[in-house]
Amino acid sequence: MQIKNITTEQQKPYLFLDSGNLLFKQAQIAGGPSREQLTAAGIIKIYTAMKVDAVAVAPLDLASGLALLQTSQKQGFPWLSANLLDQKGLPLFQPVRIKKIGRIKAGIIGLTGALSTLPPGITRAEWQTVLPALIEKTSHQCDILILLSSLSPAENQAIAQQFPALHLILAANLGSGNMNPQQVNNTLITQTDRQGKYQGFLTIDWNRGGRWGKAREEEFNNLRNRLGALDWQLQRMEKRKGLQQPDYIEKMKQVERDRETVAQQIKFLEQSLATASTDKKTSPCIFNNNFLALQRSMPEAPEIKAIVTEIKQQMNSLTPINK
Amino acid sequence: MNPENNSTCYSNSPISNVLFFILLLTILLVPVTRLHAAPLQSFLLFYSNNIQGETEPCG
Repeated sequence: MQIKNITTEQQKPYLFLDSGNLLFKQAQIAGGPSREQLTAAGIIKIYTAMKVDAVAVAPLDLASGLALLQTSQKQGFPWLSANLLDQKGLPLFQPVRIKKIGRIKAGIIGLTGALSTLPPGITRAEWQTVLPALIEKTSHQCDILILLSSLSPAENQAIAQQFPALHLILAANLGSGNMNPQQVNNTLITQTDRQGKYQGFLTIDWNRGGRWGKAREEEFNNLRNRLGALDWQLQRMEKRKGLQQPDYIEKMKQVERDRETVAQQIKFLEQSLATASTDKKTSPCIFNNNFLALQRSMPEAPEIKAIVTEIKQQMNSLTPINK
Repeated sequence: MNPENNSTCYSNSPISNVLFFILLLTILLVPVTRLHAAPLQSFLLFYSNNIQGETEPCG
C-alpha cells in the first residue's frame, strides 16, 4: 500500500527488490505441512501480487529445501542466485535479471551467502568464481548494476572495492539494522532492519556517466591529499639529495613523475566537475534514501488482505500436531 | 520605397510562415527540462531484506 501511494504520488517508474531471507525464520524447518510452510507460501503469493521485480535466494530461504523455491520459480517468481549450482555446476536459479526502468536498463544480480548445511544436490560457489564474468557481461548491457547479496559485510565491501561498474549492493545481513547508504568506491551499500519493520526507499536521478556525485568529490579530495603527500615527500628527498647515491636520484624522479600524473588527474577532474552541471554524460548520479517505518495498523490493499485471510484459514485447519 | 515592388515582403512570405511554424512547434514540443541538464532517468527503488529471518544460518 505504501509503495502504491508513493508511486501514484510521484509518478516515476520504480523497482521493487528484496535481498532474501524472505521465507523462514530459522535455518531448518521440518518437512510436511506446517505453519512455517504455509506462511512461506503466503509470502510468495503476497510478493507476486505486489509485482516484486527480483528476490535473491538467501540462506534462510533454503530452510525447507528446494521444492518451494523451484515450484514458485516455474510459476514466474523472480528468484535470483548466481552462485547456487546443481550437480553439473549449472545455476539452479536465474543469475541475473535485466529490467527496463523508463529510459534505462537495470541489471540485477543475486548472490547467496554462506550456510552451515546445504540441501542435497546443491553446491554454493564463492563470489570470486562467478561474479567477475557476470559483471563484465552485464555492465555492457545495462546502465545501472545492482547486487542483491546475503554475503558477509566484509565480502560486500571487497566486492565494492573490486568492481566500480557495480553501483548498488542491497545487503541482507542478519546482524545489521537499518544501514544508511555507505559509499565504497563507486558502490552504495545499504540494507534495512530485519523482520519487515522498515521499507527501504531510494529516489535516484541517474545519468549516463554512472558515477555517484559523492564519489567524484571523494575522488577529488583523495587526489588532493595524495598530491600533498607527494609534495611533502619531495621536499624531504630534496634536503637529502646531496648525500645519496644515483639510484636515490632515480627514485626522486619517479616521485616527481607520480606528482605530475596526480596533478593532471586533479586538473581533469576539476574541469569535469565544472562542466558537470550542464553535461548529462558527466553529471553525477544523485540519490536520496529513506526508511519507511511499517506498522501493523497501516491499511492493507484488498488483494493482500484476502491472501492473509486465506493463509490464516489454512493455518486453523492444520491438525494440532502440525501447528 | 514602393511596397508594391517589394515581392519578398515580410510575414506574407511562405518561407517565413514555415520558419515561424517550426519555431512555434519547437517551443511547444521540446520540454524545458530537455534544454537543461535533466537526469537521464529519475526513478524510485523500494528494497527490503530479512523479512522473516531472525537467526544467523551459520551460528
